[in-house]
Amino acid sequence: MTYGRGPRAVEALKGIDFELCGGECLGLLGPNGSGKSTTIKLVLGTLRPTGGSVVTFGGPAGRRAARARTGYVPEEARRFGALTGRETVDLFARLQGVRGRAERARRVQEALEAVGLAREAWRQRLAGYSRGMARRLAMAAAWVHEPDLLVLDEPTSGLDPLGSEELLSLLDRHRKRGGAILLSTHDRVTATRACDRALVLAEGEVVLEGALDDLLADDDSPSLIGLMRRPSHG
Amino acid sequence: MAELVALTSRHLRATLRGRATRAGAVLFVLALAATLLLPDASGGGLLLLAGLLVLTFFVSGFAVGAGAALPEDRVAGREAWLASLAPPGWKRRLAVVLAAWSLAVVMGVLGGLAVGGLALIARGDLALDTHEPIALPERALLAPGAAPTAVALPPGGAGRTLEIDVKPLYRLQRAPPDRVRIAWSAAGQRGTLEASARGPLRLVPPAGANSIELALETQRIRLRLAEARRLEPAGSPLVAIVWTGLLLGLLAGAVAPIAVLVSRATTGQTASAAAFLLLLFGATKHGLIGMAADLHIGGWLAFAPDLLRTVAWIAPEAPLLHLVAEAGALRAPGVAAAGLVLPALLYTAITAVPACVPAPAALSRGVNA
Repeated sequence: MTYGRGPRAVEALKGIDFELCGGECLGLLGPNGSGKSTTIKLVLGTLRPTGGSVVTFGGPAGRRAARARTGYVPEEARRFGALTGRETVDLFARLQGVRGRAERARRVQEALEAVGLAREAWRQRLAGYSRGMARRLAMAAAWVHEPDLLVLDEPTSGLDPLGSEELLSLLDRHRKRGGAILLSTHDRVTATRACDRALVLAEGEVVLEGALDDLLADDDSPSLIGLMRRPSHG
Repeated sequence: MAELVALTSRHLRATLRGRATRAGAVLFVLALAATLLLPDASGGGLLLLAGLLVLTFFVSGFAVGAGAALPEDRVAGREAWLASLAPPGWKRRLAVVLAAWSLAVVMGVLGGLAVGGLALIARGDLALDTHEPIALPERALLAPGAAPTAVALPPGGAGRTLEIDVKPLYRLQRAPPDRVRIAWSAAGQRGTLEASARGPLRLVPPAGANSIELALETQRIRLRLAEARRLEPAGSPLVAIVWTGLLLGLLAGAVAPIAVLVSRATTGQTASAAAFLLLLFGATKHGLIGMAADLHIGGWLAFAPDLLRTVAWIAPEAPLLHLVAEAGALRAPGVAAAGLVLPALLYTAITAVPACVPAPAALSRGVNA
């Protein structure tokens, strides 16, 4: 994947190859600028690869059918400041094809309850949300249409331990339902709790790949720093 | 369709709850209240003129402001987030067009209600007339001592007032008269009337008259018959003003797709300014075409007439100022005035296409843009 043209072209990703099946969670780990967000955009189809191909649900990524089966939680989630929490989740439900007012209301309520957002926040505008509340809401918005693939960019960033625990429980629930998860994170607890496998990226390349337990077998640091340093320092 | 409704209502909510809208609403109310301070001896005409001008300005502002929402969505990251959802990019942009357009229309109606209500409260009553245009003979002039000028009257309308706008033509006359005396004859009846040398003259032709002859009796002046119409008191002045507001909203909403189109490549402020300017050109379209025809410039400014013609050609047919001026003259737009907004509606529909279609670059990349 290359950004720009000619001498100013930057190769953001090279030679990435992975598969993700239902019921599985793949973690994208790596320092800032390693290509995690670009990978996520390619999977969502908001970026098209300049070489190779990205296939989701049996077809090119980003086509309408694939988008409708995907839920995405961006890193910064306070973006619909003028809408209330309930309105935002309802909007996402409508746009992702949840039909019927009663069914939508049921799903919206279920999603908001599942992420543990306090009821008074449902009627509050997102402009007044804390980062953690916005993240919970973004998770509810991504999950409301019961997608087959959840794509999460730093899902627990800004969440308190209780919020992280609730979100991870929701991810467990999603996997048990047979859904797939692709998430990028810097947080060891999130990675170890949620992911079966991980790709460690550095400068746009996969430098480590495998089951997370194996990757972290001889690393007892509380963070992922050891994992991220390993490629460059042996 | 459900996706379009959801996206449109999202834009409407975001716009209506925005600070700019609240500030605009307060300024609109203040500006409208200020019109009450105008010394109005024209039976409410000046009040209506000023009130509807204020409304036109704000409706146009709302249309172009709400239409230029895409850059803010881009900067805030909403566009990328929405692009990951099922609805295609063209629906997201069409939703902005629909939101801005419907906001202009609703604002036009509500604003018309506010202007009309205020005028009625301030004046007690408004004597508005509906009008039906009457064709005048080419180069219709009234000169002292010249043969009478005949104006053909359309059938029907017995007892309805005939109104003719006259304008003086001064030919090296010192101290020309301000008021004139005009003799008329129709269906065997005769009469005279006195009127201002500049402005409308009114008379009620006898029943059954199919034409009326006019002759100028005052010396040292000649008059040109500019426009003529047949008047009938409007059923409800408030309904007439709300109808005017709706027409203003429909005309101003015509540039909403242009605001969306320009905002795809520029900032919101640039897009708003460009669309507002285009609307201004549309409101003065015929003046611009006339100016281009009269301009004879050489040298490096020789392109100016062509530029004026091009601008007039690009701009929508939006006779906003004409509608406001008519209301200021206490003439209510009839049902036939709906014809005035048809070119604007067509313009809205046509310009919505380039505003919504994916950019060629996005198409070639195949992304949801």
